[in-house]
Amino acid sequence: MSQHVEVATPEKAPPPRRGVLTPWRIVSLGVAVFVALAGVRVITGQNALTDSGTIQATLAFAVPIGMAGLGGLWAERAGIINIGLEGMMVLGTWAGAFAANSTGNPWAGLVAGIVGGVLGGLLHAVATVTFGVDHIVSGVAINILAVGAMRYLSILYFQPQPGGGAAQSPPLPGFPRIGLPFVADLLGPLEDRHWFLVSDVAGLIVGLTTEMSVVTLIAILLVPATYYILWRTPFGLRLRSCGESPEAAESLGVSVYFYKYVAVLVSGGLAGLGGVFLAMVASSIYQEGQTGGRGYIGLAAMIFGNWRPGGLAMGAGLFGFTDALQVRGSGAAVHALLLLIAAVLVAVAVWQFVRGKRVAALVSLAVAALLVVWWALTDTLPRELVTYSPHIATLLVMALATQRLRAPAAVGRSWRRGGGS
Amino acid sequence: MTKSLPTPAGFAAAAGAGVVLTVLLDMALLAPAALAIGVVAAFAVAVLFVGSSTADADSGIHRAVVAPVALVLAVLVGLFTGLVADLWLIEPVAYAIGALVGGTASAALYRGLATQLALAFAAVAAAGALALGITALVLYVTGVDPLSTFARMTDYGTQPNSLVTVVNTGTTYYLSAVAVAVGFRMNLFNIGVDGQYRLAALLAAAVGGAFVLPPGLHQLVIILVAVAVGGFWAGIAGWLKVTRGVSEVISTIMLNAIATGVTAYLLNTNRLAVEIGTNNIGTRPIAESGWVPGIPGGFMGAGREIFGLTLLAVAVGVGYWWLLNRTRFGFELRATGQSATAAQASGVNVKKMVVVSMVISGMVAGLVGMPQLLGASHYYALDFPVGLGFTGIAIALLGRNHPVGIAAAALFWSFLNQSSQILDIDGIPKEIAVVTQATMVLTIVVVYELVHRWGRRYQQRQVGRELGRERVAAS
Repeated sequence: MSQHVEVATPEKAPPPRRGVLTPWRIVSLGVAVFVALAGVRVITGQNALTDSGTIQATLAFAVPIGMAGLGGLWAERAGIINIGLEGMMVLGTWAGAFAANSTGNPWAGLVAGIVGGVLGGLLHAVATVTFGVDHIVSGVAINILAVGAMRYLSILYFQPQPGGGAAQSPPLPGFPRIGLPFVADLLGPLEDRHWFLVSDVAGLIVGLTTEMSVVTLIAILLVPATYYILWRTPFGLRLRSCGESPEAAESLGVSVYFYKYVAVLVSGGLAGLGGVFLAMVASSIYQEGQTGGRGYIGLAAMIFGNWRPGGLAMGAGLFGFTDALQVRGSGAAVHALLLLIAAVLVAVAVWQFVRGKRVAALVSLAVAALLVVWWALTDTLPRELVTYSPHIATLLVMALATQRLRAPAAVGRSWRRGGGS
Repeated sequence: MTKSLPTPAGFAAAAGAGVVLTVLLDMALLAPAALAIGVVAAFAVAVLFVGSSTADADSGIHRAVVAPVALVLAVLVGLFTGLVADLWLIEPVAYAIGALVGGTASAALYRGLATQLALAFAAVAAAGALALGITALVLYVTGVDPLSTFARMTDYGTQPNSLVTVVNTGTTYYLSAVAVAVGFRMNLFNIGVDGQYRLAALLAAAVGGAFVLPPGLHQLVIILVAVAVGGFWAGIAGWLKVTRGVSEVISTIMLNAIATGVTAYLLNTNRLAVEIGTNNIGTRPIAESGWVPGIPGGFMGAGREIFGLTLLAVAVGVGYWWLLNRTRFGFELRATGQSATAAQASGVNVKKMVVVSMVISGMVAGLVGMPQLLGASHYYALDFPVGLGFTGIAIALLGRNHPVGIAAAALFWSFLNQSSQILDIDGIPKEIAVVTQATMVLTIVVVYELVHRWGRRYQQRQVGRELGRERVAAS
C-alpha cells in the first residue's frame, strides 16, 4: 500500500497564461467578491455579513485551519502526505494547555504546544521516512493515538484540579491583544451607517486592526514567511525538489531524508501552533474534540489553494468566513450567502458564454436561478446543516476545481535511499 | 530433516504422544501446564518423524523463525481448545481433547507453515510485545503498577459475561473493518465508513420503525435499506473520484461531517424522531417482528446473549474471502491495488473498479450498525455508538486486511475495551487501553513493513541461490 490509485484523468498541458493566477488577478478577484458581498448585504439587510465582528471571527476561525494547511503544505511539498495533522493539533492543544496551566505563562503554553506538535511530526517522520510506512496509515494511527493518549493524560493531570475534568482543562491564561489606536473610534460610526461598500470597507479595516491576538499576528506572518522560505531560498528549493523528484534531488547531493524530516517536523509544529490557538486564543480552556476536524479541513484548504501559501490562505479565509457566519449570524446570514453564490454563478455563466461554452453557461445560469428561488422562498437554513456548510463547501470546491490543481509529483510515495521503493 | 514415517502415521504419532503425556502429567501438574508440555512433546515428535514440506525447510530462517512460531501457535491452539472444552466437559477429558488438537496442529503447522505466514505471525507478536511494553512504561511513569493492572484486566476480561460483550462488540468492529479492508485492498482509503454506517443505521431504523412486516421480511427490508444507504453514501466519494478526480481521503472525511449534519437534521422530533425516555430522542422503535433474537450465552456460563447477527458477520467474512480470492472481480481488485496502471493496461476498467469497490465498501459499512440495532437497541437514538468507522480502520490495519486476521484483531480490540472497564473502579484511567491499541497499530505497521522488506530480500537471495545451483548443475 505504498501508492494511491490515481485514476487517470486525462491531463492536457495547460495553455500558457490562461488560468494562471497572477497577483493582480487574485487582488481584482478578491475586490470583486467583496463588492458583491457588500451588495448582498445591502439587499438582504444581513449586516453580520461584513461587520467588524464577523471579520474578527473569520480570522479566529481561519487561523487554525490556515496553520493546519501550512503544515500540510510543508509536508506535502517534501512529498509526505500528513493526514495526522488532526492528531498533531490535538497534541498541540493539550501540551499548550498543560504548560500554560502549570506555569501560568501563556508563552510557555505556546512553546509547549508547538513542541507537542513537533513530537507528533517526529512520530510521523520516523514511520513514513525511515520505515517507509504508508503515509495515510501512519497519519490515521497518529490521530487515534493522540486522542486516546491526551484523554488519559487529562484524567491524570486536569481532573484533580478545580474546573478541570476528563475532557477539559482548568481556565488558561490568555495572550495579549494588540491593535492600532483610534481606528475603531474613527471608523466605527461609519460602519454603523450601513452604507453600501463604505461601511463594509470600514468594517473590514476595523476588524483587521483592533483587538488582534499576538498569536493571530504571528500566524498571519507565517504565511509570507513560508512562501519566502520555500520559494525564495536554496533550502526551500531543495525541500521542494524532494517532493517533486527525490531521485533527482539525491543525484544532486541533497540529503533527501534530512529535508523530509525537517518538513514533517515543521508541519507538526505548525499544526501544534494551530492547536494552541484553538485552546488559548479562540477559547480559554482545553476541551476534548476542540480541533473538530480542522486538521482535515486545513488539508482541504491546502488542496484548494493548489499547494501554494497564497491560495491556501484564501481557502482558509473562505472556510473561516462560513464558520464565522454560522456562529455570528446563524442560519439567516448563511442564507444570504445563497444570493452571493448565485451572483458568482452568473459571473461564471457570462465568462463561459464568452469562451463559447454555451452548455456550461446554461447550466451555471440554471443553478443560479434555482439558488435565487431557494433564497426567495425560505428565510433561513436548518441549523444542523449550516454547521456543516464549510464541509459542503469543501466538497463542492474540490469537485469543481481539483482538475486544475497540481500536487507535488512525488507526494505520497515512500522513497528509499539508493533507488527502489 | 529426517522423515522416517509416512505422513498420516507421523501425525498420529505426534497427536498420540501429546495426549498420553498430557493425561499422565495432569495427575501431577495443573491441567494447562500439562497440556503445554504435552503439545511441546508432540511438536518434538513431529520434528523427528513428520518433517517439513516447505521449500526452505533446511534454511536457517526456518529453524530460527518458522519452527518456533509453529510451536507457539500449536501450544496456543491446544490451550484454547482445552479451555473451551473445559466449559462443558470434565477437566481430564477436556484437556486430552486439547492435547489431541494441539498435537495434530503442531504436526500440521511444522509440516506446512509457509515462511511468509510465520514471519507475519512473528511480526504481530513482536509488535504486540512492543505495544504492551510501551503501555507498561506509560503506566509505570504515571505511577501505576503495570503488572497488577494487566492481571486485573485479564481477570475481568475473561469472565463469561465480559466474553459475550467482547464477541458482540467484536462483531460490530469486524463488519466495520471488513468495509475498510475492501477499499484498502485496492488502495482506496474509505475513511468515511463512520458516516456511512451512522446514516445507514438511522434510515434503516426509521424505515423499520415505520412499518410492521412479517418476521423475516421485516429484518430483510431493514438490512437492505441499510446496505443501500451505505453503498449510496460511499458511492458519492467513488463517483467524485472517477469523474472529478477528488481524492477519496478528503471527500470521505467531508462526507462524514455532512452525514453528522444530516443525521442531526433528521433526528429531530419534527422529522423522524420521537421522545424516548428522558433526555433522549430516537426513531420509532422497531416492532418485535423486526428483531433478531440473540444466541443465549448459557453454554459458556454467561447470562447475556450473543448477537444473532454475529452469524451475519461470519458470512460477510466468508463472502469477503470468496470475493477476493475466488472471483474475477476480486482478482481485478487486487491487481488494481498492486498497480493501477498495469491493471489498466491489461484491460481492467479501473474507473469502474473504483466506483464498484467503493460502493461494496459502503454496503458492508451499512451493516455495521445492524447487530446493535436489531439485536439490542431496536431504535436509533442519540446514544447510538459512534466512531466505529475509525476503529474499523485501525482493526483492518492490525488484521492486514485478511478476513481471519481482522477477526482476531477485532476480538483483541474489543477485549482490550471490555477488560479496561474495570480500571475505572481502581482509579486508573481506562483510556490506557486506547494507548495500547494505538501503539499497537503504529508498531504493527512499522514492524510489518520491516518484515515485508526483509522477507523480500530473503526471497531474492533464495531465488539467486537456486539460479546459481542450476548454473552449477548445467556446467
